Amino acid sequence: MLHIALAKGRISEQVIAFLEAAGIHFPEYNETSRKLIFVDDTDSFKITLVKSPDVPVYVERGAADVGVVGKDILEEHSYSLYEICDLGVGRCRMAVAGIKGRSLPMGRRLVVGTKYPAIARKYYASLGERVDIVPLNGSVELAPLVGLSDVIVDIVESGNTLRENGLEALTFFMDLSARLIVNKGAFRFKRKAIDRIIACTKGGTEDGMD
Amino acid sequence: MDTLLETAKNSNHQELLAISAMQTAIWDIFAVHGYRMIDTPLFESYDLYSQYAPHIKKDCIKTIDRDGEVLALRSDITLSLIQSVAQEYKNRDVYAKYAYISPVFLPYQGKHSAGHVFLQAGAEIIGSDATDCDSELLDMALKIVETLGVTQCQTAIGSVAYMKGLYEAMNLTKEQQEAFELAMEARNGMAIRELSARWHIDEEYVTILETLVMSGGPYEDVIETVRSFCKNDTMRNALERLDRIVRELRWIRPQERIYLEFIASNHLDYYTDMMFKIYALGAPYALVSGGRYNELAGKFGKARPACGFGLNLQLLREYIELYGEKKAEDKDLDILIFYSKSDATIWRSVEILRHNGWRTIAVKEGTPIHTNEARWVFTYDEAGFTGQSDMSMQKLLWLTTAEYRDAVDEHTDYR
Repeated sequence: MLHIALAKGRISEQVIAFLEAAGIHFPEYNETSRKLIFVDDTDSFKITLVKSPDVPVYVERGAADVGVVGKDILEEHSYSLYEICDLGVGRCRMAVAGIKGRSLPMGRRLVVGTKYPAIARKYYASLGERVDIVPLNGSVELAPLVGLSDVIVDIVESGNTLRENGLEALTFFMDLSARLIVNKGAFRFKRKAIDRIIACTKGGTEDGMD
Repeated sequence: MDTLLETAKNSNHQELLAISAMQTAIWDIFAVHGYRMIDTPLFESYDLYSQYAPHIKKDCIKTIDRDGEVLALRSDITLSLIQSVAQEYKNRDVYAKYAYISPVFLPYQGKHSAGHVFLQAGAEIIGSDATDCDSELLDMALKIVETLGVTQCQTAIGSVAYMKGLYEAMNLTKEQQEAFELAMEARNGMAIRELSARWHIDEEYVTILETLVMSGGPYEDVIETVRSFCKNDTMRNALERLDRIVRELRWIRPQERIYLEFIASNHLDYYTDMMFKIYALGAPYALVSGGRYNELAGKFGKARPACGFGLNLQLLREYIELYGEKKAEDKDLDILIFYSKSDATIWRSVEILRHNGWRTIAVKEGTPIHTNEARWVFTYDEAGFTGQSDMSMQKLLWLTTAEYRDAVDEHTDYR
């Protein structure tokens, strides 16, 4: 049986739709269910729904054979696993955003609020800039509004959240989307089932299920 | 990964027994293959790692000696070993087989366990470029994991030299090659395409890389496809060498499942030719890693071909505990005696029991000790020894552990 870890929410719904379209059915699955584990009707595939940052942990440690996770999670932490393909879903971009119309401070270090300290640090290092990072866990848009940071580094999809909070994107610097990741041991022992999952998800990508 | 202190913990009795048994089994295998024991210093100059193994330098545990020199706790035994052999045997083209079981101070991550120090077992053959050395190491590594109870293994082999030849044919810069190597190691086909587009790589090579990045399968199924990609002698020679190694391994292991793949690279390591890893069903990590590193000794002054492998005993123990054959749990103690009277009889009896091989403890009555840790519990008082019905003290005093085991095997009632 191939064990698949999926992030609860839109990604899991889209991936399960890919699998269903390819003939892999999970009879007990529905979007409102509180169950976290679903097995397909042939007992060949098992899906576990977990929090997004936990997906690569499950896969790296072999608690799941494959997983689907946003590229942002893979860029923020280092994992020993294979990043096999881009599913083409959950497309968004990593951006620097600040208060609309306000210029950035000169003569002192920029203060950056973010849920992605590693990505932010790497980005500013690539520009040769030293910045102070304020690590946050959520509602990052608040940071510049309450004076906690000058700018934020965060994922931007439509830009609506920024606009509603009086912020604007200053730079986009990384394209993100959901990736199929595979455990190194499983890749060798469960190759046939993994190839089937790759084929299913490729079909979804080609159909433009974005 | 947690910090060093967060992962620092005691090893319990059962863990230590298991590790000790594994070490004995591994030494036995090394010994019959003619390997000599060696150990290298626990402290090394930090320069050794920063210069020759930059990928591990940030993980080294560093300290400063009285003269201000930065030292690192040993993070790679092969480097230390090759350095000392190159420096201590400068004028001798020695052929030598060394084996070791010794701590390595480097972070590791298992399925449940994690730490910053582990016991590594390994073997190195120095002074020969013959392919039978490579196949012997493969065979010996497989013998070790099989002997320790790993039943479903897969040996993945590849060649760094083949990939080097391909990158030479592509005429890549060092920076470009490193970027492709990283993408290949992560089997990241998206990155291969992005990099190829950025550097206008010829479509033929993009196709080859895209095939190789997902490569992997039984040797005979994959080798001809891979051979058709050869662009120069470096690539052809690398495959000829792999063919010889696999042929030699099959002479002694005709049924061995050998999985060929080409994602290995040398930018993080010192390997120059064949590389291998042994995977086991359920393990998220390779149990054994090894390969040939003919150029490493030359960096320390005396060039010598060499090959070797290493395995992390903590990870192997974790795997065997999770997936290996389950053995009946042994008690930590054979005999526990509670005495209310301390005299010559009890202490002489304890001495005889220990002489006969029984793990024995005698404590004063009322001492807080878990009685379920012992196989037999006795009390000693004015009336002498009293205990359980299945074994009398009288019998135990006349019975060695070996005789008892024989009796159990023969179903003899010794009560």
